[in-house]
Amino acid sequence: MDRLTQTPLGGDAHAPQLPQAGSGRDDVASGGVLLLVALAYGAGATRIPAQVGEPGPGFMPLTLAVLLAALAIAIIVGGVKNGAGSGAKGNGSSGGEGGVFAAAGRPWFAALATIVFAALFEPLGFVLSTLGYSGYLTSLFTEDRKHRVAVPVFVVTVLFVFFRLALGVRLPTGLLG
Amino acid sequence: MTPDLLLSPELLPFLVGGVLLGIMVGAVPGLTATLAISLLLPLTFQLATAPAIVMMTGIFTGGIYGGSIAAITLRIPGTPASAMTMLDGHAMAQGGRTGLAIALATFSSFVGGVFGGVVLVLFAPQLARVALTFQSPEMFALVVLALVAVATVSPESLLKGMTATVIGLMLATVGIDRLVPVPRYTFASVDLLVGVPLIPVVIGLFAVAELLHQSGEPAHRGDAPEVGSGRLAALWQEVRSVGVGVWVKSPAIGTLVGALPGAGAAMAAFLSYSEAKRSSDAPERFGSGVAEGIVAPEAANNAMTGGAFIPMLALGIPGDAVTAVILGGLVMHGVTPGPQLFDQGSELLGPLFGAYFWSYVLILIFGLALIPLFVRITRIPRAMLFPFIGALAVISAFTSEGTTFAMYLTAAVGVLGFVLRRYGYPLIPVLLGLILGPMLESNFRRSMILSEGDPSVFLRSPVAAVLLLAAAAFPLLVLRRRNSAARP
Repeated sequence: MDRLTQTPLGGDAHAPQLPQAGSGRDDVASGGVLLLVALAYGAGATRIPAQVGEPGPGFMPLTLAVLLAALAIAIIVGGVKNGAGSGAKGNGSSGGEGGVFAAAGRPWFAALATIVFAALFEPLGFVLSTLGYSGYLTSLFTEDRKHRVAVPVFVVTVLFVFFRLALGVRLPTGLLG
Repeated sequence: MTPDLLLSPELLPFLVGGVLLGIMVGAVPGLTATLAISLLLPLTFQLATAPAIVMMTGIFTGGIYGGSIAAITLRIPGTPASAMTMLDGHAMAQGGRTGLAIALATFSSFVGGVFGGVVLVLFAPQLARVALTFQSPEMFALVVLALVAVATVSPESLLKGMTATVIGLMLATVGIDRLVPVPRYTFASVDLLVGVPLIPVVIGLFAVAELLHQSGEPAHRGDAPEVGSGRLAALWQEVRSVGVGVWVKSPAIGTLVGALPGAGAAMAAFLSYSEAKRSSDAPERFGSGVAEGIVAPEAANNAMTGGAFIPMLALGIPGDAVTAVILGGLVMHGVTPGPQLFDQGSELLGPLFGAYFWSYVLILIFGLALIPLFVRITRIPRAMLFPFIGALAVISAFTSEGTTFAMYLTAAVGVLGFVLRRYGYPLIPVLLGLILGPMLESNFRRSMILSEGDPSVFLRSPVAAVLLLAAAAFPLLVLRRRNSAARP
């Protein structure tokens, strides 16, 4: 068996499974959020100064806000028709993979890790921050300790060779500078 | 003018190096041919003009082709232009036909590139004059058609496709307005004054969003075992199964779009894919791994490279970002593009045309020969692959913009892409909206300024009117086909 097994020791066996898509409910939720976005975006558009003699810089944002609001309402209506109350599966008009809040927490931790990586990239430097980031991501995919060490080292080495040596890109040295 | 297509032997190493570098850079999400040429421009100063031109041409063509590799193997487009290839290319790879998908992309790129090159050599000055007739109303109408086409052919619902397009257009409004120096949605951030940069959005929408998605998935059950990997017979069978119409229309669309300044490879690929799906007998199969879904965008975006040279050489107007950098390189080497280049003839046209054609021969050879290596990418365990992709993607974003803001943006867009995907919204229309939004708005407003506010300007132009009519008819045609397919 490949040592970098695709079925890590018990790790992914405990991975939360995504629930069945509640299409109608998801459509109502996503449509509602989009409607709010459209209203906020449209409010911003009204603050853009008008221009004499041409549609002006506020025209496109205002048009898009109206368009998004209309589409959001249509999606909400579609979601209600598809049985949002009962959470029944829709007629395929939504096709989502599952509500965001029902998804496993790991994607959100990975997203947070990416933001932390960005924040620490210059202060810590390329080597340390990339070791930490890739190490954490590895831990999300495998519980094997050897791989949790080997993979980050491999990632840092390859990326250093690629960016610094091959492309000549200057990478921050941070604490190791 | 009879071009010399027999490249001098001493120029061949520069072409080989350029093509290989272009493929490598194009295959890495976040790195583009534009970046590769920009980084290598100082190096080309140490070369004579002909080798410099040959190398830049190789990087350009290799870079456009290379984007399909990551799109097929990783579901992450290496370049924005390969986003449509990703749909059917990755689906075919998941079905155990990675080698065939790459072979199809390679062969399509060769066909498209050669087609674009033939048009370039034979009709460049004439096509340049036609391109000049495309003024603001026509460009606006063309962009509307492209946006509607992509929103409409999304496998998800039409409503969600249009919503995704609008989201992309909204992102494109961020920054200083292009016609009037007014900041829009910058939230007093200096980084947002120049707008939302494209590369971090591509990386975020596809690479980071895919990483987030995969981190929430249970243990990878593995793709189907690879079958018929790279066998020429299988390739030829698929080539023949794709209709002649696709083989002809796709490069034609790509060349024509490439000849329009500012249009770019992404629009060529999107339009071609949309047209192939619309005219297919089984449009519902697109997205599941059909050959046409690879052939159409790849033939188009590689034919675009020939088309993009047309306005650059004949008019001195770059067709897209890469040709803009190449144009700068040419000028720095003392070559002045423009009508006189063809009228008076130039000893540099020969190496350029020769390099262009031979680069596609090299792409065909390298692409097919490296299939076993590309197939192995799909076999890399997730625990190694996604940490690598995550770090590579985010650092590439840093490299593209030179700021950590780009990294934050990549993360934020990654979350957006992850959420959109979870709720069934397509991502490609978001990308297209961001790319084409500025063209849409600036051409609309310029048209209105020139017509003193009269909206009939879009209908007075026959070309614009036809394009707008096609844009209006597109969703109706697609909906009608979907409804008749759904009926028992």
